Amino acid sequence: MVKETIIIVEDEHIVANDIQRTLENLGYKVPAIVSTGEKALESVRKYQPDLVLMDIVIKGKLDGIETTKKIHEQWDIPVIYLTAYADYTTLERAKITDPFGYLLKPFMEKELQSTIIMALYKHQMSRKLKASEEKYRTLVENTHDVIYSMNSEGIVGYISPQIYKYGFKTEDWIGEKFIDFIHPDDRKMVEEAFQSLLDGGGERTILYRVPDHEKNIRWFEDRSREQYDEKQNPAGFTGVLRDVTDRKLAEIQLEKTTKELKLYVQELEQMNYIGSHDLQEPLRMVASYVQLLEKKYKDQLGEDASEYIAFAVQGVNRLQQIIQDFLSYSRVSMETYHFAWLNMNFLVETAIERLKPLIDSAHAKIKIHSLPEVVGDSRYLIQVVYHLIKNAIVFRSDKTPRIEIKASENRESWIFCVKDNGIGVEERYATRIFHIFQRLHNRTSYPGNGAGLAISKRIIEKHQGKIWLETRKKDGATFCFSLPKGELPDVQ
Amino acid sequence: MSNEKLLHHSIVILLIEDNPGDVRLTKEAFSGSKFIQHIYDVRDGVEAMAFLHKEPPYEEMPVPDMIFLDLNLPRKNGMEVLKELKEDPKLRFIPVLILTTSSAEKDIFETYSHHANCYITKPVNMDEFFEVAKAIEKFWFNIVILPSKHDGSHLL
Repeated sequence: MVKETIIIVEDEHIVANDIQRTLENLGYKVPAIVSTGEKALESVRKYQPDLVLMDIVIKGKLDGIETTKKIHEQWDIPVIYLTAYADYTTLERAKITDPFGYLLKPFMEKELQSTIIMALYKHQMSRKLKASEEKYRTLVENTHDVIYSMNSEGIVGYISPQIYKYGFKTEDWIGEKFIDFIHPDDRKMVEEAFQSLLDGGGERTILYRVPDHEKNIRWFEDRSREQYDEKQNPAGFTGVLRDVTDRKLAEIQLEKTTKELKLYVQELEQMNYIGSHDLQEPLRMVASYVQLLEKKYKDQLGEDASEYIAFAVQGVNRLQQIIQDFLSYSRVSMETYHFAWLNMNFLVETAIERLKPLIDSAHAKIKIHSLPEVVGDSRYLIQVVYHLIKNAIVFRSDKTPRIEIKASENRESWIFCVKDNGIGVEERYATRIFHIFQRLHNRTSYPGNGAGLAISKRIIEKHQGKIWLETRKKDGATFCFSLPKGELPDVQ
Repeated sequence: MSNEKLLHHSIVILLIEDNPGDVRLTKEAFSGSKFIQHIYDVRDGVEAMAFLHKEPPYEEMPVPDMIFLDLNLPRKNGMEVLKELKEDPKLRFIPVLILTTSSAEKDIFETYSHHANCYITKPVNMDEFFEVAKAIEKFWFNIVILPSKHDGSHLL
């Protein structure tokens, strides 16, 4: 049976006793019947009833309505008014105290029972709703994000307490125009975004600046959607503000660095150009006029002079080669690569054609195995193959140079190797040889500036591959490079 | 008619080059030519345009048969000169040989895009440069048929 407790506030004893009897018959407990507001408050405190039946016109300073107000200030207990008066003013006064029922005397037992059952049920529901609201509020107020809502006029109705993190009180925002808190430069964009929400519905995520209480700029990512009232009319917006200041500042820094880097690269390109022109021009003057001197005045100059001139010209030629190598080295780093599918056998043959005089004079034998197709820039990959074959011939021993070019594969890459029977490279130099202008031998026996491998390394790296010295033995060297298998890249 | 154009010592060249050493060297390289009547030289793009438009002090100068153009010039650079020349209906028929130290891809592409007739990188070595001069002479003055200046002007 039901055991809910009900307190009766009624100054007419007969009526009160009558009601008590009825209630007890219905299975309710009635711990107290009181006749004044003051006593009512006392009993409520004492018994914590589930319901109060309240006569509006009672003895004492407090009438039923005033007493109800006081009860509601302290406890969450439903009140049902019992009264013989149903005039408009009384009803209006009673209404604002949010009663769970209003019974006009005299009433039937059935009427009383149904009103009580409904009141208790409604109260239980409102309690559940409050609990769920409480749960939701706790959730809202414990996220890192700030949650807000505003009405159709853009006035903030709610903002979660996290706004304290930015030096604000919730009262600073509530009742104010939302847009006023946004950085002036972003207001137009934000207003447009809200307008587009009104037009198109759904959800929008925008990024804007909000100066905090001390005018420090914070970046917020705002995920907002339109809100509707019970009749499905637009009723403003709700949104979640996420502080993305750190991310945004990092982005800004990155952008700045990228910009600086671009400028730096441009400067390097400029230097490259200056190098290609300004350095070579005076060099050409020196070489040409020394040679012209020799050509025109050979007979007057004597043997010593011819020798000096030869040294001068040699020096200039070497200097020019160094400039050329330097330029090639910078260019393979800076110029745009155009990737396409390439037939490596064709590429190797093209490189060999370019090396024909050297190959012929060294009587080099080159064996080329079947090679796969790869993705790369032919202009540059030819250079790599060219340098590797050239090195294989230049650094030959007293044996006839025999060179073998073959390919193998692993899961991600194709690996190409150029194997020779030359003088080989000592293990301790395996890394150094890939640095620019590093030479291991004198120029007379093995000409060159030591740029070929450095240039090749850059080119292969631009292809996302690797280049290395495989054999580190005295009976020859094997240089290998890998190129990733796969599709044409979108960017260089 | 074109045979008449190939008479010995009939070709007039305008050399646009700021480095006196290069001017001298170029003249030296072509000094034995049977075809060249004279090589005029100017030091920058502004002078070059004045020469070609016969502005003072170049009123009496002839229209050159060919222009040797350096790219790196003071005041008005070679690329600007080339652009102006090739946009000028009275001058654009004159073949322009780019004669420069630059081997930058950008320069090569841009000059051809502006209708340069050929691009030559000056070799460092004098002997090679003299070889280049000989090749220019053989190709441009002996094999190629150059337009008649009268034809060029009355077309307009």
